[in-house]
Amino acid sequence: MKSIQAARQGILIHNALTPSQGLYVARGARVLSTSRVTTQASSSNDVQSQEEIAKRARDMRPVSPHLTIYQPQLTWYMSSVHRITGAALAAGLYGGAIAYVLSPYVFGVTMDSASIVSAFGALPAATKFSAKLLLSLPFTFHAFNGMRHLLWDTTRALSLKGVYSTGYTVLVASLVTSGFLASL
Amino acid sequence: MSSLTASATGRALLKGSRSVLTTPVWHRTSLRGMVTATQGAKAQHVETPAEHATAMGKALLNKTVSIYRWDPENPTEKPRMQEYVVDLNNCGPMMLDALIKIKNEIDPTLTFRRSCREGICGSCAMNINGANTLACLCKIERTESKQDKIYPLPHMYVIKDLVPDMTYFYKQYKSIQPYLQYKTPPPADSENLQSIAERKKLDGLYECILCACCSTSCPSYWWNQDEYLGPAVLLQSYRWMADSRDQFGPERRAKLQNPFSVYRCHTIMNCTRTCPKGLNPGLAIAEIKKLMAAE
Repeated sequence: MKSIQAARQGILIHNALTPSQGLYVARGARVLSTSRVTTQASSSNDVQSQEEIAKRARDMRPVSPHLTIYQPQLTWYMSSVHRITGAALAAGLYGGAIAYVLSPYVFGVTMDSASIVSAFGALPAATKFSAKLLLSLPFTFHAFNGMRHLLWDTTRALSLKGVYSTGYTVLVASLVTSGFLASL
Repeated sequence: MSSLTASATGRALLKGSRSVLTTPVWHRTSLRGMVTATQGAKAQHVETPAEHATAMGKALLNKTVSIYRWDPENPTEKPRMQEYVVDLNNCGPMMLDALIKIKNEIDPTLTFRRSCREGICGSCAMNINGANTLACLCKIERTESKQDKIYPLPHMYVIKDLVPDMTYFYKQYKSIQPYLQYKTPPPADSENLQSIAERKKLDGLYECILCACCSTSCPSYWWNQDEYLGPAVLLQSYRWMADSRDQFGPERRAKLQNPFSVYRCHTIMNCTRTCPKGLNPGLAIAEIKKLMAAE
C-alpha cells in the first residue's frame, strides 16, 4: 500500500511540473523491483530529490516570449496606438494647462493666446503644418477609434470582417481629417 | 504531460517504402516466395534523404524550421532557438508533420504536445510564425527561402520546449462552473428540451476546444493572467449563460462583477483573429458585458 502511495506521489510530482520522463521511468522501475519496506526507505529520499528537482525547475522556468515575437496585426497595433494616443492627449491637456498657470513664475513668459499666436505665426509654413499634424493626428485617430469602440460595445461590427473594415475606415478617416485640420 | 514519443505507427508511416525493405526475410519469403541474397543485403542499407528524393523522382525541398528550446534539467541555461532542416518533399503537409519528422529522425529530445492531428483535441497549440494556431491545421509554406519560427504559446510558463504549463488556465475554466445549473430541476421522466432557436444560440460557442490559442494571443491576458479570465474561458462562460436550460445566468454574471474578470477585455480582437476553429470570443465577451450592463 505504501509503495503505491509512494508511486502515486511520484506521479503527482511528475504531473506538478518537470522531472524528465527518464527520471520518472527510472523511479517507477525501482518501485516495482524492490520490496515494500526498502522501497519506502529508498523512495522517500528519491521523492525528496525529485521534489527538489521539480522545485528548482519551477523556480527557474522561463515565461515564453510574447510581445516581441507576436505577428504584427491590425487588431493589437491599433489598440496599442489608441492607448498611446489617449495617454499623450491627456498628458498634452494637463501639461498645457499646468504650463499656462506656471509659465509666468517659472520661465518668466506669459502663455496667453496672443503671445502663442505671434510666436507660432513667425514659424515657416512646413513647420507649422507638421506641428499641427502632430497635434491633430493623435486627436482624430483617438476620436474615430473611440467611436469604433462605442459601436463594438453594442456588439455591432464585432466579426473579423467588421474589425478590419472599421479599422481601415478609422485609419483613412483620421488621416484625411487631420490633414485637413493641419492645413487650416 | 511532458515528452511525447511519436507512436510506432507514425514512425512506420513516415519511413514509408523503407519499412517494406526492413521486413524480416522469413516473413517476406512466406509472402512472396523466393528472396535472393542481394535483396537481403539491400534491407541493411539505410537510405539518405537525397537518395530517397531521387527514388521518389523529386528534388530536395529543404525548409529551415527554427524552434524554441528550453530544458528543465538544465534550468540555468537560457532558452534558445534551434534550427532544423526538413525536406518538404519527404514530409507531410502540416507543421505538425514536420515536428514529428524532426522528433523521429533528427532530434528525439524535441518536446511538444500532440494527439489527434486533425484540429479537435487542441494539444498542438503553439505560436507559429508569430501567430497562435494548431500545428496540425497549419500548412507549411513550400518555399526554401523563408525560415519558419515556432514558439510555445506566448507569455506562459514553459515546462519544456513547446510545452506550456496550462494548470492555471484549466483552473480558470473550472472556476466558471462549466455545467448546467438548475433552480427547478428538469422533469425526471422526460428529456430536458430546447427549441431549435434556443439550440442555435449555442452555435459558435460549443465548438471551442480550449486550445488556449486565443487567451495566449491577448495582451490583456499576458499582463493580467492572474485575475483576468481571458477570451477562451469567457467564451465558455457565455456558452452557459446562452444555454436556455441553464438557470444561473444572473449568478454567473454576478461573479464577474469586478474590474478584472471580464473588464480587462479592451476589445483588442487578437482572439478572434487567431482562433484556429474560426470562433469569435471577442463577440462573446461583448455579449457578456452587454448583459452585465443591463443588470
